[in-house]
Amino acid sequence: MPSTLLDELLAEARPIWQAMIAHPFLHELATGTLSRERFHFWVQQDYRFVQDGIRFLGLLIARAPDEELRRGLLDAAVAFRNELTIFEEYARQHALSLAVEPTPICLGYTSFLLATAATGSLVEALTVLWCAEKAYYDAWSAVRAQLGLAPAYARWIENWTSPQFASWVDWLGEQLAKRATTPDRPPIRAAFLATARYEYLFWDMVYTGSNWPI
Amino acid sequence: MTSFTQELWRSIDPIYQAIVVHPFLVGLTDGTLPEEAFRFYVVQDALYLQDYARCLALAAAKAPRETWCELFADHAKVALVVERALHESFFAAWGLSPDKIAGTPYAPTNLAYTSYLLRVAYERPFEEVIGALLPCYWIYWEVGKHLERSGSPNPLYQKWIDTYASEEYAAVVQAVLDVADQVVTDLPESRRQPIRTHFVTTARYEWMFWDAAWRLERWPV
Repeated sequence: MPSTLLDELLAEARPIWQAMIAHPFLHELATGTLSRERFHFWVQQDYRFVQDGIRFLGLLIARAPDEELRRGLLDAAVAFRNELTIFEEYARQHALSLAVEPTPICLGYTSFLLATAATGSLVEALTVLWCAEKAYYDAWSAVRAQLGLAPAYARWIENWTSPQFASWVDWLGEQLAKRATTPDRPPIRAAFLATARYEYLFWDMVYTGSNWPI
Repeated sequence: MTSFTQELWRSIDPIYQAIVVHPFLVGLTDGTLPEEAFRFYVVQDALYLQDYARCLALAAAKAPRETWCELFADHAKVALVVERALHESFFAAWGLSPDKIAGTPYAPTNLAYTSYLLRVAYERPFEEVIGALLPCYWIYWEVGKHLERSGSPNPLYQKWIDTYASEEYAAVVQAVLDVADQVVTDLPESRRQPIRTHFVTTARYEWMFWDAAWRLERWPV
């Protein structure tokens, strides 16, 4: 399977991707006008996301058929663990509780990740992971292009725009591309689009504060 | 003494009350529900049932007693039989083929709800899986009984109501309630609490599922 797969996925999701990068949350973050309240809501909800992300990686590691993939995913799980520390230190400094209930979007997104890892194919699960990581790389790179390593957000920006993170995203994309067969394409496309939509919805949720309607 | 399942039901009483006054359900009985919303609902429900069957199969796989394994394996099959019956009773009349249904994208609430069920069914112990699966069983029974009292002038809606108000369906739900009450007998409080959390969460998703159909919910991007 040629790596055109990745290009095709990104091309199909372009409108979603553009809406995500241009979202007011990221725009205000990059221009230094984002309210602290909104940023703190993101910190709380994204922390929940990373917690479940580690479980998702755990399931994927268990399912990885070879050492190469297992080791790469294990490194990612360690990186996720370090992300938790960034959130926890920030929360401590700002007396922010991280013990919050996930919103429907956060719970829906993490459940989608875990349900895919549990009952989807390996390549579907790799698609979801690659999409989420690529989305974060692109979103935070756009922030960095405008803001540089602004002290208020430096650790997050650095984390998701570093050369190491960039090469992890590329490596993961290659793993997906080389493992996907032709019959895998329709479920891969569906998984990619659903993940991209959730990425957009996550920024939108932390910006609007949308929560359980009942 | 209040049983565990009675206690569970009490915890979702406000959600259930909101469900029965939701315009979707009121519209089923007074006939004001636009058929487009009903069609949206039935198509999404068919997709939902396919995943619900998978969760029931996972519950069967985790069941600590043979009779419970048998019960949930049977219900997994029934969920798929009911899904196919929808094709005969509703989709054929609307000219919707099985391929067309399978190719319909999940609405956001449906994807969130089924993903939540699947993750719980896969990750969590048997009793928690039952807690997550229970609202779908039980709310439909209560809703069926509630709607049957007024009935519907629309024969299509009446047919739907009859399914969940039937005695066969009542026996199905009662069997699962019995499992839920028995499985917690010797469980410490620390293992009961997560059951309650799943139960409330999927009851919320039940309200959101009706509401999604009422709004003809779409992905915003």
